[in-house]
Amino acid sequence: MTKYNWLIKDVRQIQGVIREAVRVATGGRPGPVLVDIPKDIQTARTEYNPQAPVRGPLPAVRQMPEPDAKAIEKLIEAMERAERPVILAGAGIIKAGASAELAQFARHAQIPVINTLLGMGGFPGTDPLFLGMPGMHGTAYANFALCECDLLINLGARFDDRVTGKVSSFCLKAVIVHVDIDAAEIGKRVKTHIPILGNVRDVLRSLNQQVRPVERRAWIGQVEAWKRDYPLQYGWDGSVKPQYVIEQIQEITGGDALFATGVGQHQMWAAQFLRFNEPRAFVSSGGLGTMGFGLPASIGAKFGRPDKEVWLIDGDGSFAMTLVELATAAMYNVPVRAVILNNAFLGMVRQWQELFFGKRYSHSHYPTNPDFAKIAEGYGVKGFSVRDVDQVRSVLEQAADHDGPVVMDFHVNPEENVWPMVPAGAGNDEMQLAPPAPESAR
Amino acid sequence: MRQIYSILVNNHPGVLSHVAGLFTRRGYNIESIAAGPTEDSEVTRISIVAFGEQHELEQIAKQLRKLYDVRDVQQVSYTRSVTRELLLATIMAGPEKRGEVFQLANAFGANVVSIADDSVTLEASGNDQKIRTLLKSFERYGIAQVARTGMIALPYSGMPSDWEPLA
Repeated sequence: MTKYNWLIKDVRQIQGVIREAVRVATGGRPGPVLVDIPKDIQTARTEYNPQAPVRGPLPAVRQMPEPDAKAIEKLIEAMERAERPVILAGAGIIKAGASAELAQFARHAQIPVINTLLGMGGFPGTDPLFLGMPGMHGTAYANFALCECDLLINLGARFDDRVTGKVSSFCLKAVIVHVDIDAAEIGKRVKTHIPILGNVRDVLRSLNQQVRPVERRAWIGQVEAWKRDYPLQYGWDGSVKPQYVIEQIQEITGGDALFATGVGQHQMWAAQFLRFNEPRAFVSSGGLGTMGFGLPASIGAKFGRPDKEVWLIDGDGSFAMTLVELATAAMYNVPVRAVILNNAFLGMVRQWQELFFGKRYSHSHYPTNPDFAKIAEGYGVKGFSVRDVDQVRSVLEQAADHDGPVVMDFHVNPEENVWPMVPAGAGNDEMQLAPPAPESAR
Repeated sequence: MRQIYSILVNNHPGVLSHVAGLFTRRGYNIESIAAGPTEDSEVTRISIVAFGEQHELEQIAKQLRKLYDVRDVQQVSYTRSVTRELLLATIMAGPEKRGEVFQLANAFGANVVSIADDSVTLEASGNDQKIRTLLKSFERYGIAQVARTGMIALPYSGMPSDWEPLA
């Protein structure tokens, strides 16, 4: 789990270890560390020395090499030859603070950008070059672009299995470029033709100095056509559709807010239907998929960025796991807007049971869910319960204006699925689109 | 294929378990592991023999380099290094067979370290091939018990950088 951990046995070690721990956690590819401070050390006394020495250099951060100029040259040559290039931008862009560099690069070289789940916000969601998320619940046009591209430029993403689908059918027509700060990620899952080890911001700055502006009318036109012909969509049957709730949140906020999520269907819909304007606007648990992450994360986000409005988009399953944190929100009057897309199911589990296990719903149905609005009121937090689609907008607007924490329990269509979907173990070329929806009655 | 990793690590408690844990967690197979002090008291050398596909072996080295306490990882090639292993083996041999066993041991440069009524315990060192051949040669007497240290390795010093092994 952690990059390293320390057990403090002598109180005099504490300053050096804490300094070192911060350096390890933030250096190279950032990650958590653990410092274990036993009870007797916690209560011991020591002198504070601001100049306490830090131990020797850390292999993973020491001398991060300058990006290899020859490899960058190769990438530029590949870009000049390419007719259908695509950028896959991961969380590395956000961690390196390279969003501005990425936007400049993509616009200058006219290359469409796909953001991984944790890369969301690294490229503006409103930019015409933005293609959304790839892979299992990615947009159709992102997956089409991956299947058809002749050059894939991976900037700080790790080729997660939810992105690649079956590796043996991933980006078969493409020259693959992988820029990463962690040598162990390059070539780990996908064979890389042009590896570039380094900080993605340094690489992008170097590229931005060298790349010549081009027009790619045919390819951009093709991508636009896919976006037009295969948009994200959902059916309309008079019930409260979870995607509709998220669309309304997008309209009300204009995307100018921080959004936290739990894990599951609602998380995928949030990634699909929200348009993130800036890095770190999307606070979500990716690889580890930690249900219950959302509420505490949204409270933390508000403390970290008090200037931003903070919305939580959660599922009933995830919300139930950590809802005691409502006490914290109430105690400090933290104005987070918690939206529960309540389908009385562990929705993603149910979706898999429906599609791959003959609808044998096992341990995924929660018909006796509590009344979350009442629970909120019990904590002294404003609560709404919504069953009527006509109330969605007005409740969201009331919540947006409320000075303090709010919980909105939206009883959504219980068997709504996340589309498109690439079945587990299948290639992105085997993506299934949403089944044809009944005529829109909106 | 097999690969020897010669790994220099900080001499701290728990480091060996970090290194070994990396192999277990990621499902790589260790054939042998040997650790001991080096010329620098703060540094321990761990020699690991592992096997896997080429890309797995590369991945192991990269993952090892990410560990905080790992200072250096060398993927040592058999043809460019000295490799040795120490073997203790108890061979079933009563008084009438001892002569044969001694002779065979002598051929391998193995020493007799203990003699009992019905067995002889030998000590031998050598590279992987020698130890395997030796064990095979004694199989017909019956081998009661074996202890091996696992392979340790050092790159050849003074070998010309353009040296190529014979095909």
